[in-house]
Amino acid sequence: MKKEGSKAYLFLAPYIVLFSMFILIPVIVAMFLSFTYFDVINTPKFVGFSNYIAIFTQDEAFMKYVIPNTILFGLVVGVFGYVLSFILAWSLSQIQRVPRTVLALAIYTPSMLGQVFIGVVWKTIFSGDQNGILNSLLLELQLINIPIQFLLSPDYLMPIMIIVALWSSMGIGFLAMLSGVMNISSEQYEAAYVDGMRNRFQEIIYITIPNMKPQMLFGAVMSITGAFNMGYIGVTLSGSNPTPSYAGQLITNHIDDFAFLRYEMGYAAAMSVVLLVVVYSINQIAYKLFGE
Amino acid sequence: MRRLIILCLACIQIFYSVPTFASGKTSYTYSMDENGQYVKTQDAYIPNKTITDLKLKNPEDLFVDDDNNLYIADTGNKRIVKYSIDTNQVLGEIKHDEFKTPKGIFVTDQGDIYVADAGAKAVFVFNDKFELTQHNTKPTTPIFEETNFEPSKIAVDSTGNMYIVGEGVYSGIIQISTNNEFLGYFTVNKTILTPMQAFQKLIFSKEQEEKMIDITPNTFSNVFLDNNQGIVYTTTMGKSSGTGVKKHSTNGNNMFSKKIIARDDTTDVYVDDRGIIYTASNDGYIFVYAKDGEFIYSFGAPAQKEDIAGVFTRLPAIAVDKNYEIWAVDGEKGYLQSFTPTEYASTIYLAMEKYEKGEYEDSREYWQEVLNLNQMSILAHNGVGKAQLRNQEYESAMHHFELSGDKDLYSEAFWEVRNDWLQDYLIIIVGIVLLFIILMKLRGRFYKSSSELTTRQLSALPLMICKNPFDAYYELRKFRQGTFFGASLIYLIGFIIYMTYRTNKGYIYQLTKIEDMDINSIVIGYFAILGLFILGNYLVTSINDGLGNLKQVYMIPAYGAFPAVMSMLIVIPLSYVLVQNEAFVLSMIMWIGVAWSLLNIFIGFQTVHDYTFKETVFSLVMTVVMMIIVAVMGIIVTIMWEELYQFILSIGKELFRDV
Repeated sequence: MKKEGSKAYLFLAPYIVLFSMFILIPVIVAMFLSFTYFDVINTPKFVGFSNYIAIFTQDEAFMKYVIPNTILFGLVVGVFGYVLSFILAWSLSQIQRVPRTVLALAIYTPSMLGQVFIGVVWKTIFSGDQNGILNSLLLELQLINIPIQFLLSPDYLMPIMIIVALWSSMGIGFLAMLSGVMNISSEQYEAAYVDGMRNRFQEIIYITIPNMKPQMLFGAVMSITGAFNMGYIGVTLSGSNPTPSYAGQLITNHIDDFAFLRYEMGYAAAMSVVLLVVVYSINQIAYKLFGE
Repeated sequence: MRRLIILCLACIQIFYSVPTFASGKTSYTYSMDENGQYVKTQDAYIPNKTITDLKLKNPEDLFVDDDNNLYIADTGNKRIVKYSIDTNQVLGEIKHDEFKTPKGIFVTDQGDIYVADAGAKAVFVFNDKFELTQHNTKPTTPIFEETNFEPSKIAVDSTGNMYIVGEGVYSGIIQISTNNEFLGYFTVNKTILTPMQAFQKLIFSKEQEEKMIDITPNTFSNVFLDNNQGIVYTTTMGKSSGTGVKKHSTNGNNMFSKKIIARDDTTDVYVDDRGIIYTASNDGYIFVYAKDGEFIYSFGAPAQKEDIAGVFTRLPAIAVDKNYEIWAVDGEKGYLQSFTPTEYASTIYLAMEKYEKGEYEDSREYWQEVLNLNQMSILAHNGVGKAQLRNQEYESAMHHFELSGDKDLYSEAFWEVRNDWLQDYLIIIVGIVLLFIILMKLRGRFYKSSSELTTRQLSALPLMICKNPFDAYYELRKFRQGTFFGASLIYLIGFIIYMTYRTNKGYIYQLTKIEDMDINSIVIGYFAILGLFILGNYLVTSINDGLGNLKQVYMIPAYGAFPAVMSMLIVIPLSYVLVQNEAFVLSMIMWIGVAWSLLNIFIGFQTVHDYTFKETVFSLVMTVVMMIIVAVMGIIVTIMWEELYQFILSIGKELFRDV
């Protein structure tokens, strides 16, 4: 019996080694650093909980802009992105094979290309001078007088970030849902129609969703983590960190700002631990909702 | 209660102030109240000197130089008059053979006098000894060839570049260099189309377009250059939707981000060395603005038949001298009128200046003085609030912003107060949250079977509907679930919560005040629309194979609306603790609640009547049509009934009178 157990660990070893090397140990180190003052050059100095206290008491930008922005962005991109990917997956499953493959690829591409694509496509569209596509269109129609600084104005940055994030959020979760919808056998629908089901609405609620619960859960987790990690969009679009008047500042940008621009690693680590806790607890809610 | 006291005090004050100020004033001064309406306020300026002996004829422009001399463009007499304000004497006049209609005048720091003459189509430059040094006719630059050059107003910057308003030029402010080269248009007034107009433009033919859409841009009426700062100001005539006065950056963009409250016939703008902006309008009003374009007050009026100092038949120009007296000229009758600022006005300017310099404590004291003169002054409350915000006295800043109605700044002050509170109680909050989590875990361990809902039907059915509307509504129809009493109770509770939601949100989110609300129409609207909808739906579905009876139709919206009622219940307390940039949380909750409810109700009708999707949509549309018909019928019957009543009444009167 004992021998069998050790063999199992042997088989698990590659995974355990890689997982702890690349994920577990860094997370533990970050947790350790979050209790220290560390500026990359000197040895970390233990400071207790003062980093955490500073986050919630002294960092005005964090409380005033970063938290509301992150919640807004997370809610809209997370929830809408999730609903959108389900709707798109479901509608794609209703059409023929060839157009479905083409469209699925087209919808999935943005999430692969990410940052580069944003720089090329969206910056051209929302460019702040009169050569920006949207600006020149509005000027042509005489709806505005002078070009709007879309990417540098606090009023427009957040909505644009949300649009871009939704556009690029049809990632692996979307593919999983698509395969989930496709795998439901048509016999179930036929049986249900025999039993008196009358419309597509009921089809979705009684058959489609219950049948693809695992994929729904996977999609939810992916869209939550995705929404919290898309901070780079605001920085890429506006070209600066912090973003103009903190309009598009998400918690990941704030961490970047403190870690790699101000070299306050301890503080940044504390913030990442906070982010970890937040994402973990939201994922727990997702498990409650969609898990068995 | 506090408002009432303030109101009473203000009334007393108004009665008090009439005798003290009645002596000099000839028109009322108006400022803005918190709802953006004009209200009478203390007199800001009192007519001082009236100078009629200069024999001016249709004067068009005024300018005050650094030595406190007033230059008047006496257009009708083809001359420029130089008048000393300090000694009340005419110091000389410029006459030139080629003057036709000298309409604009500007004097530089060096004492060069620029005269824009539309009739002569030229700009004349004189030195301080009144000798002609330059005679600039139309620039020969090719791209300027086809444009009219009839300069009517002029401003000159320190390098000698001229900014000219030309008559009949729609393209913008003409900018000309010292060497008489056309540099381009400094700034332009472009027309902005509404989305509707833009759509019309896309689909209309050329002829239709010309008829329908007025695309001629508004013309500039004046230009002014502030010698201290080198900032160009312009005024625009016509319906300009908030751009009647503009302050330009060096590249010509408008620096005022807000809409400016101005009249449509603004003729002149003048800026004193404190940055206070004064404008004149053709019908005799003078508007005063702060540096950032915020409206302070206006005074003056169009003249009636009598000649009264301080009202004007036509007001083409104003200027401000070194003692901050306003000089205005009547374009028809040709007299000069000066206005002296009252203590009220001077205190406001002082308070603004102190704030600008960062002396917040002084600024607050001056604003307090303004408040002593006028308790109702929005500007002063705002000023005190801003100074207190800087001085970190957040709670009393909140109070003043509430009085001035400035929700943005109120929200900012409130954030600080809330932040202080959070920090004081942070440990307790964290403790409570941890305790709650531990309790939840323990509870989960002891009661495994807590998922069974044993609540009574009243609350169970709404919850079931939220979870699975199909099944729940099916049960409602099939097994006669739900009670009339329960549904009525939900309607009543929903109504109470809805009224609270409309009238009692936190200050930041209460967009219309309770005083301005028509409570009756909300109450009647709620019950009338609900009643009509239920009745209409029952009538429509009963002839369209709907299975639901009246009681069930009555219950569908009640049970379905549960999420909307809940979201209102959550939003009300939250609106007291959230600041403005967290507004999305509230709107998100409301959106989810309302969308969820609508979906529930839709599914409810579909299930209870056993309709397909199409039939449900059709029945709902028909219900709305039915509601409109019933409402119109109701109104007609009421009117007829009224007529009948009057008829019977008059017959009765006749009878009694004859008997």
